[in-house]
Amino acid sequence: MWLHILKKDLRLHWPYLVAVLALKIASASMIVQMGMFAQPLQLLLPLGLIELACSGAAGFAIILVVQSDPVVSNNDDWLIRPIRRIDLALDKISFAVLVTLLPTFVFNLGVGLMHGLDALPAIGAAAYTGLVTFIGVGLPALAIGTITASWRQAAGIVFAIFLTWAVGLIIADGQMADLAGWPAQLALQIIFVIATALVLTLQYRRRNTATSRGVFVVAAMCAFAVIFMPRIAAYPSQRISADGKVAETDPIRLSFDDKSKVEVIGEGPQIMPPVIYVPLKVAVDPDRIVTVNNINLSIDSGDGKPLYRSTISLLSGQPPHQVSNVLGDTFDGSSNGHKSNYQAINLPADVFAKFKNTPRRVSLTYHLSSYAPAATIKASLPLGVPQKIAGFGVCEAQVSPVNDQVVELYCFPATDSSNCIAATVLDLNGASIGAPQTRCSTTAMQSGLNTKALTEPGQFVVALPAANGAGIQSLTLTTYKVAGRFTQTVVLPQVRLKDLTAHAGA
Amino acid sequence: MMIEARNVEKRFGSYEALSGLSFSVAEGSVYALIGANGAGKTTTIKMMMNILAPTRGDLTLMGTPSRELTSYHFSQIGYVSESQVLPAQMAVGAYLDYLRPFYPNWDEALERAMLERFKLPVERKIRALSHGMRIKVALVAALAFKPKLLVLDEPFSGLDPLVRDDLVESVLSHAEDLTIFISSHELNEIESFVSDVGFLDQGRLLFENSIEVLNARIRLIRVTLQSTARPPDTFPKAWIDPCMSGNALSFVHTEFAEDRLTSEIAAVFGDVKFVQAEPLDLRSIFTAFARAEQIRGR
Repeated sequence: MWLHILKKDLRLHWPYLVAVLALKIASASMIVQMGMFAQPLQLLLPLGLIELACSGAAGFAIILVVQSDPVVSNNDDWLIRPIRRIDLALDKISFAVLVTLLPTFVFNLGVGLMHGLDALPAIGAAAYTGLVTFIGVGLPALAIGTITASWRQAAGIVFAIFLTWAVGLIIADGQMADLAGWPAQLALQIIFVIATALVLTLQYRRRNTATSRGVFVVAAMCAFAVIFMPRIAAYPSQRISADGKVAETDPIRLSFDDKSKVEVIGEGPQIMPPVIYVPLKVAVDPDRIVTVNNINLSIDSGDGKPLYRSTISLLSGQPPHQVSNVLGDTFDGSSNGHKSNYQAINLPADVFAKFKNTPRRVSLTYHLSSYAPAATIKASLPLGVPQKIAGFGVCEAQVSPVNDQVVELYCFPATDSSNCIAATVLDLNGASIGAPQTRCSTTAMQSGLNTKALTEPGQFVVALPAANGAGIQSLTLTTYKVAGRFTQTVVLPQVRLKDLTAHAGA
Repeated sequence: MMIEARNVEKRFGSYEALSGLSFSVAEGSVYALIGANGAGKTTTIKMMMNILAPTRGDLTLMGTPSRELTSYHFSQIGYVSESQVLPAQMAVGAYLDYLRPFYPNWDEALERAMLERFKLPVERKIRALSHGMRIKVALVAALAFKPKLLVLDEPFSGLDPLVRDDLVESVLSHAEDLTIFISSHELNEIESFVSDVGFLDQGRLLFENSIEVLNARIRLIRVTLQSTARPPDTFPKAWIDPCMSGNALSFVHTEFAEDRLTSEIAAVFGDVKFVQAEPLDLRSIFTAFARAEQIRGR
């Protein structure tokens, strides 16, 4: 009978379903229109807003549909009808699937196919994205709907969650878990699934609203604990979960290089926090790519007593550089002997003021991932045409709008085909032109399917030489997979922070 | 027994809404649970329908504990309540179309006949109906599947007399093979068709009896004494709501027996000049008991 109840709900609430579909069509059209180059960039903001509105509309519709046969009520008609509660629960879950999972799957599949992906990877990634949307939007909405009696109550809960999140953001001051990383995503998904299953079971089996609300509150607290878990605590969990992938020998060696000189390129803006530049020697296994996930900074007294500890994230924005030779977040063979060898670190003004004149022991603990080559693929790419590359995904090349001697290569992998790529342009004789250009996905810590593959075009963007401005004749693409995760610590025995500023270094 | 309650207790936090509630409803009877507002009638019914859980005690419907009622049982129970929330955004016809498949015994001819009788507009949304019309819709949805048990919770509250009569008539025309459990404080409306009465006061059942027994046992007694007398310190237990003025005495006798009446009064007041026993309607019985309880409470 759940289908019969679902038909009733669809007849009564079809306008919400239409609204969700309309927003989904709008976002899919924009993604297709923007293409792999995501141009024009101005469309990214409206696209984000439409996606947000779509999730909001879907959540609102689910809450309304659940509340049309309210579990919390003691007066509603369905309570005294021969309507099995399991049928009612199935109906509500099906509606949630209809407004979250199904449209996401269908439209993402369409976008993937229109972008040139093969059917199987497109189906895989679209299904995964749909499932994530269902877990992230559908399940919380189901839970909220079953523990509330009116949309006002539900809105109150949503507002309270938003408020807690906003306050948490202010308190955490950016020192929170990397939500793009798979451990945080997985933890949140597990919390949503378990909490919703518990709430639905308690409500539809026992109509035990007090306990269900308690479960919801506990789940919300757990979710916030995950979101606001300091990175310093989150990364050890990533390392533990990467058990078995830990490299036996580190493919990179980082050490303090007190001989290096900063190349100053200008004055840093005065309003920005102080930046110190730590000179490093970098030696990388030329067959590997190494990415920096996170760096822990520790300032200790002479006897090893910690005075200040913090986590530096390379994913949440670079410091305002005053120097040219600053390290990025990816190392490869070309990093050996490379002149960019300064680790830029933003410091709170009070910390800098406290330690700038006193020699202290400074240590940087790098949490790193290494990637080993998986396959090398030869391909030729005409300009401006998306091209399927078997075993990898889809790529497109265009002449750089700012430099016609450079071709920008945009690629996105099909599902989990690669975490990093290295691209080399070949001349007519098949010889390499220049060094391989390396890029890693910003979702390097994500496990399984790459959900961003279909909706965030141009995941790998590589600038390649194009001597005659006519594009690339042919190129080789080397795909990389995670080989291990490990840490390395660089110790600066006794330094004054003042000596690590751009001015001092120069 | 169609319904049986044994020592049922219901607490909302520290507030005791019902205590030691015991009653039974025989198959085919029309049982009225009467009591003032807040006496616990609706709570009793909601526990019967498994909307609320009893804190303690046993409550069974059709031999099944109320907490274990399944869709099979609900397909044989019709329910109409003053506070019942129908799906407001549905049209009357769509609502009945939606309910029909849940009931194997749904009688479409009966549904049509009732719709016609009540002049219900099938295309109109339920939210656009008056309170009386909504109760009629609920009644159609409660009778069209020919239930074995019909539970009515204050169904006539707030209805005009014409609608009320129409509803009563409609219920009675389908009363064959039907057990009816009705809660009400509109006693005049139900007196004509109930067979048993339970009187609930502040969560306790004060008495439960058939209407015949009540009619036979309860009388308003008016007495003229030989001379002015002082009221006794305590009246006999069976005399409730006593009122004395000079040599005139009146009270409600709850265990009336014509042959013993004069001697009972004489045992308290000596010789009497005049005694009259009048039968009471349900409303007066209810009022007398309620007043007696109030006095006892003081």
